[in-house]
Amino acid sequence: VNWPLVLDPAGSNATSIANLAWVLIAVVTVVFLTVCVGLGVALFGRETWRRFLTRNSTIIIAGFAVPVVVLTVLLAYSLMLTRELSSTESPTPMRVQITGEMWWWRVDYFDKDGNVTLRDANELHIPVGQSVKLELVSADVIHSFWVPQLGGKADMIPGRRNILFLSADRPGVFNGQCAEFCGGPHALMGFTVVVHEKSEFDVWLKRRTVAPAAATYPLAQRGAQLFENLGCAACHVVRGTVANGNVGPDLTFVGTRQKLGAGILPNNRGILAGWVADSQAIKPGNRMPSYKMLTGLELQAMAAYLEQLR
Amino acid sequence: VGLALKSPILFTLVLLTACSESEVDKQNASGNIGRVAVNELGCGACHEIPGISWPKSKVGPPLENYGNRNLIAGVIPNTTENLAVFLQNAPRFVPEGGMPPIAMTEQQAADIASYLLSLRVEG
Repeated sequence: VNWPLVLDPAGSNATSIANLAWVLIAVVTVVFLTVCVGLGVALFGRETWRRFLTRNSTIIIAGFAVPVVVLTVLLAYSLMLTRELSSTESPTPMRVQITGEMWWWRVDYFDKDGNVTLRDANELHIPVGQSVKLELVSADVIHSFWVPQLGGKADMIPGRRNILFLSADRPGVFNGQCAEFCGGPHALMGFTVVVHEKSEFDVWLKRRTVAPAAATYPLAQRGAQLFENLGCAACHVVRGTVANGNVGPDLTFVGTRQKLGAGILPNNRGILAGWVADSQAIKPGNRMPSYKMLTGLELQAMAAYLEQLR
Repeated sequence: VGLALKSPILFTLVLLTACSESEVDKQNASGNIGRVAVNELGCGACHEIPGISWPKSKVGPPLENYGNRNLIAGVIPNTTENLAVFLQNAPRFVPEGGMPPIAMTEQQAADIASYLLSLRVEG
């Protein structure tokens, strides 16, 4: 069975939410069946049963008192659960700031002293079993961060810093999605979380501290040259090169991303070429122009260069 | 049908069944596997392809009725085997073209090739 993602949790917070969903589904099912029985009685029941339904006490109890009690209990349960989602038992959670941008995500990893040690985009890497404190902010409009299998949903509101805790209990790749309409390409603003085994995560982090080596073969070298000449550096960072623009996603390790275009397309040379040539056809309204003036060979070179940024 | 028309619920069910059947008729089972592979690799980032609703980019040629085409990229005969090779390494045939080599499994290449060749009109 392909469960909806919210009912297929992979972390403790997501499990609480899935449990809430199941409780709601169970209660609602009982209420629905009860109402159906009542309706059946009212339509086809014996005279005495129908009279019972019309009594004042029946209406006050079944129509008012029971719903008030049931809804109050459910409200209290869900409020308690919501509070749990923005707290943690771990005294030293890993800290990551995620900034909602139109229409992608900036990801900044902090060290223990609160310095940014690593900047990435559209993808979050975490170790399994570790509580992760996400500090959610926005650079422009309201976005909402949501990775259904790992935790709750929290808005990113300009001028505020909302806290959301995530944790994963198994390694894997989990998809997220902006959950607050934020303009044209909102539906194409996806996110990816990669959960590693602890030792694997340390290796990953170490590799990320060193910028990728310069392109080694002619086609990729031509792509690197084009990247510079076309002015890509005005918007994108590639550490270890002159590219230091902070407007768009950091591309230092774009070749390793699970997905491209902010969590929406697979990562291969074809997509890299297609995105550079006409990202506006793929994700209409996004802030990167289509580079329709490039020749076929130039597109190949760009794709080769971007792919080896890993 | 008489009974179905009288009952809105039954009528809706009949309509739903009719839709899903014609959807299935459009593609044979193996073709459908190829369509899934096309989605997995994101070929729509450059090509308009029947059966793929997004993306529908026009960087490269649209692939409507591709099975009716004689030559792949105007270079080699359009057979399943040739197409599977071309998909993985287009620059071997069109060195200056925009389509780069694309990493995929042999199975994916074969599935996509047979899907594209199934896109044809007779006559």
